[in-house]
Amino acid sequence: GFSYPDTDLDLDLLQSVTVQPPAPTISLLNSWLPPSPVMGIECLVLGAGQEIGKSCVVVTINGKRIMFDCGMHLGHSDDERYPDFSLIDGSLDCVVITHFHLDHIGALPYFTEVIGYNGPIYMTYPTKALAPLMLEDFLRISVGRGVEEKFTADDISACMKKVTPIDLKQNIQVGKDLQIRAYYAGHVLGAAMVYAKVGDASMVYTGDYNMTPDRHLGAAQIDPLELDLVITESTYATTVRDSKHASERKFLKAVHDCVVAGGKVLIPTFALGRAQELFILLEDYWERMNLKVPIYFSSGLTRQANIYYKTLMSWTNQKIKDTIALQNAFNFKHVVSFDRSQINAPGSCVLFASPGMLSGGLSLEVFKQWAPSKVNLVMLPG
Amino acid sequence: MEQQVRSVCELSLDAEKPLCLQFMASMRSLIVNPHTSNSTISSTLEILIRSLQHAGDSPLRHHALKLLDDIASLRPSLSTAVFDGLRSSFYSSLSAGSSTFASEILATLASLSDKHGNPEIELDDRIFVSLCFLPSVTGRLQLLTNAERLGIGASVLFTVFFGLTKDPYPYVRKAALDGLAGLSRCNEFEDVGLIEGCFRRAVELLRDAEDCVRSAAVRVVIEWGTMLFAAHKEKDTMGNVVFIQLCCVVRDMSVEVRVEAFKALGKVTESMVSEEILLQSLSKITGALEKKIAQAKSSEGKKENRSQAQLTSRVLQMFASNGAGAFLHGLEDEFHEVVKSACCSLRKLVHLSAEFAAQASNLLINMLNDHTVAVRLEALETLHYMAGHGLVNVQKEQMHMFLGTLADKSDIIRYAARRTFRSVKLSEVDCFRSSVSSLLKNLEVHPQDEADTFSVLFHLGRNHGNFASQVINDVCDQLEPVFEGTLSLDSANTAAYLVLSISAPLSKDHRGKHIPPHLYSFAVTHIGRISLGLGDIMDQTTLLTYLTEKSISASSVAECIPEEHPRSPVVHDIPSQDDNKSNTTSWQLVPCESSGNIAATIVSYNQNDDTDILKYLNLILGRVRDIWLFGKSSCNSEALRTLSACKEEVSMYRPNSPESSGACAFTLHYVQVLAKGNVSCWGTTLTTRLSATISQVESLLQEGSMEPSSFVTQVKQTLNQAGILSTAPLFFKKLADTFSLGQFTLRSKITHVSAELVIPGYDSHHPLPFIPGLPVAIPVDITLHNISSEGRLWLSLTSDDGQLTQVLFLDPNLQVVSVGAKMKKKISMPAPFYGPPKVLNSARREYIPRGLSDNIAKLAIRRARLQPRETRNCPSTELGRCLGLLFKNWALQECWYYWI
Repeated sequence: GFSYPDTDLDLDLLQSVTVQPPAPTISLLNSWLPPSPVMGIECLVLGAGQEIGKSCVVVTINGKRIMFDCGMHLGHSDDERYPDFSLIDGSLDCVVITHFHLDHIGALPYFTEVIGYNGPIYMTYPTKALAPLMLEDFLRISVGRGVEEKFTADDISACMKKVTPIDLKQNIQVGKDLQIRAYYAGHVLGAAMVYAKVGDASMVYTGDYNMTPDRHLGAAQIDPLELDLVITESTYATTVRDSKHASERKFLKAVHDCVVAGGKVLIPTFALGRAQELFILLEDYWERMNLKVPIYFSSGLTRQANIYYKTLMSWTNQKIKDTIALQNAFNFKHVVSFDRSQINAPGSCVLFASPGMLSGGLSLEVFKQWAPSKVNLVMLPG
Repeated sequence: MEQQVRSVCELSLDAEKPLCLQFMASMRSLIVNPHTSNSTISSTLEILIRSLQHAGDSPLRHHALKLLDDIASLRPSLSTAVFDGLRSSFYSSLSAGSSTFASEILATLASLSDKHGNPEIELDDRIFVSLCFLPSVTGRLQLLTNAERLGIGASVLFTVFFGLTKDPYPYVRKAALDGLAGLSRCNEFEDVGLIEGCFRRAVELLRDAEDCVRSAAVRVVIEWGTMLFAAHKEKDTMGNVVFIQLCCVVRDMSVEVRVEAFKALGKVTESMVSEEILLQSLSKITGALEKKIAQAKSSEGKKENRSQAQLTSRVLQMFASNGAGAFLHGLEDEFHEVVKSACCSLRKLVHLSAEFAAQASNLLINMLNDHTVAVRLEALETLHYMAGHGLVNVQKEQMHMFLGTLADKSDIIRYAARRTFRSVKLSEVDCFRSSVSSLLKNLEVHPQDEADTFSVLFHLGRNHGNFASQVINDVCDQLEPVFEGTLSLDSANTAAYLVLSISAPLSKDHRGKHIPPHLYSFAVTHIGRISLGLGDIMDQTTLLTYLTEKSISASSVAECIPEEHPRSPVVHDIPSQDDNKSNTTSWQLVPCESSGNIAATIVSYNQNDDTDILKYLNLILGRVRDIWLFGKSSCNSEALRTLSACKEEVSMYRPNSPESSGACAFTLHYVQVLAKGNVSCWGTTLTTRLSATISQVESLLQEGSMEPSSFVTQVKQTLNQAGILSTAPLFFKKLADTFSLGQFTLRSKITHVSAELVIPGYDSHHPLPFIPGLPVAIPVDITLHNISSEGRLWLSLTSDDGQLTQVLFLDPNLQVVSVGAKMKKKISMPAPFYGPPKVLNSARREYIPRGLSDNIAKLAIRRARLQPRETRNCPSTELGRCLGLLFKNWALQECWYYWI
């Protein structure tokens, strides 16, 4: 209703300039936290509590139990690799996956096909499209190394069939009381922050998110919400990053100087996400500077991912969306696929090779060949 | 239809019947039709006004209002009547309790008042307030939107606006905030408490759920914040509070709010914000801020100024968590509208702190790699602005990105980048070199940018005279035209370097004067393309004058000569240039035909004024004078190269008028003789040639009644002594050393008198058959230039062995076969030649005229003798001057070809 204006001008200025009290957050410990008697929210952190990797948090809101992310820890090869699902007491109402990175989705096929979870699984459309690529690639690499994983390619396929894709800001009613909604998180294509509400209690699980837009993704966006709980990614919470423009300047200068001097640039990177970001960066620079040096990518996965990226334009940033009518930013003119026979071909070039950790595969092979030469450059984009 | 509507109107007026929609549509047709009579419109107006008062709550009243607005707009003469009618309708609506419609009428009245300058409505404050607090949302909105035009007192308006900032409807809140922002400009509020209250309310609304409200709140925060800063006793704190509040909004989820926040930040005035807070808005690293917070917290324990310390620490905490790096976020924003707004804001704030400006320029340079053209452009515009105020100092490590914009694919970006480069200050010579190099590379890739690139180079050189001098001295050799026919003067690079070289002397640091002076002369050959680029700095005439002065400047010449070669005395004063008098000359670029053809790229000269032609040739002659000094300073190779370039320049010149043709021919010959006789020939025994030359000069001087110069006398004495002295070469060398070539200046028309002789079909391998004892007819084609019919001409033919010479008198009047333009006559005739048998028997019964087997033209010229009768009749002073000058130059043996 209409309220008459407050004519009392003698307000304390401090009230208006005081920092708003931070939203209630909890320490993400790998253990049960005491249930809140007021909010009726319980948290079970199965992974990523004071560690990086294996993101998996089970939250019970007013009796409704949601699993946020179901990742694996790539740093472990034993039982620590997967969340300890046995700690979950009772049944889950749903699983929500924030994005396609393995530390957020890697354990999902195991959880559904081996452990036997058969409830609803939600993730965004791009995540559903790109996650199988990541999982299958991971499986292929593991097999190549002789490591036996707890799920198979068929499990991946079966698991993905159970996934319900969701759109941003789409209200999803899970059962009678639980409502979930996804918000744009940046980070990688299809990444989402998840809002969940049961009755009068509500929370947000951010997953990984970016507050700074990059070449192909926008910054995270969310409505003003009154929340009882925020579970947020905090790996880089205390890190002040360099300006993205400065980082890009340094990167481009290093690459440009190398290729102009006739050297070869090796950029070990994962096939999804960072690769596309750097493709766009270099493509744009190559185009503006009229450079003719070839840019290669080595992975078949990259080719497939590029196809998906082309079709998921609505999840990219404003600039790419604005220019889609003129040119699809993922239709690369200078970026072409690489053949192993070209490793020792004369002339300068830029090569994106997986895996990003230089732990094996083509990136390691090329590294061994190119690193001895002073004119060559190895860029580790992180 | 007009009649029909009018009759219906009259009927309606009588019957006071409400109008129907269809009839109103007809009325509108009449209103918008310019041919409708005024009486009909007046009737329409009357019935519409009446309908407002009698229509009750009919929705048609809105249409009637619209029609009245149309009448006022389309018939300005009736606007007063409309205004008065609406005002009476307003009060009748009020009395009828139709407050919503009254508000609507007020909105129309306000609109009319704005459009047609009708008097203010002067609404009673009480009525206004009561209308504002009625339940109609539309009515409130309209009232608030038009409140300032209703003649309401500022204090009442403030109260209403302030109250309605808590209206449940967002658009009302927005309108109330807009009203408050507007009130800040009326300067009627001085009470600190009131200002503070308004500011606080706006700060509260920065967290409103609606984007439009937050945007409006931002505007109020800056406007009332500025007032608070001015009125508050704690100015420093308040100014920072305002700035910090705005910084905390720049990461709002709404693009509109972010844009508005940066606009507001740009309004922050000097001394409102402290430098450390300002600097923190450019950096996310809050180390220094944390220390300050700790200090503020420790002060909270003290009794004095406790509240102030609390405020400071809390504000700073808020800033550290929300506002630090505000501009950094703005410049990295996803939406170019926000980036643009941040850049505009930066432009206004860079004047507040030098350190802030330096850090801002670093951020902006990094943005030059952004993938959006709009963002790159905005960054460049901001850098351009800052560079114009001396606030950009590009670091070496940033040059790569900065120079990258010069090679950008986008024309707009390249243009903007060059615009920035015009005023940018480079700290190191390496940066300058790389800038020039990038501009030249850009010129290769984008030749269409030439004019603008030249302009940038000029500005760059002028701003960095010392750097430009260094660069030019490094590349000076490349700028010299290659002697053996291959000239590089036509390359864009050469022209670009020449632009740089001519710009350096205009530098403030005065070190640009070390530019070799002949480069200015070279620049003259590019004057067309250079002046195109420098159009914004100087016109072509000014440029030409400038180049003339620099190229003939004796001091410049002396400075470029090494110390071991002291400056030679200059015999004659340099005549002042007759500049800035004729502006009728037009220059245009001629397309390049081949890379090696210098003439192709040089300007074609459209001679509208011979003065300009003489000016141009005088420049060349001035350069030749300079070259003489080069020759004397043992720079023979340079002198030869430059002479060759001069020769090329003159020979490529295509004069249209006989006068300019003569001047050109003279200049060409002058240069050719110098090049041929070359200063390197000192000491060569040329006694015979010198004797002949001196006798010719004496003859000419006699004709002109002029006295020989001291040099001629000296040469004559030396020649006399040379015959008896074995050390003659030394004398000549000494003589040559004392000679200094004067500046020859063409001041009036010169007529070139010449003749060409051709023997058609003659070939040295097939000599003419000759029967001894019989005359032979040798066919000759003679072309005479500028020889009057009164002139006498002989053709002398000498036998091959030189034993026999026969002279034939030619009558130009009798033997002319055609007369062309420009005093050109052609003669074709058989020239009889007779040799006695006794002489020719020894010549194998064949006779070849001497010289025919050699260079025919040369022979013809040498053998053509012109009777200089006319010269005796017109010994003008100019002629005297000309000959006097020529006389000093012993190399000019054939000067008698020219008549003035």
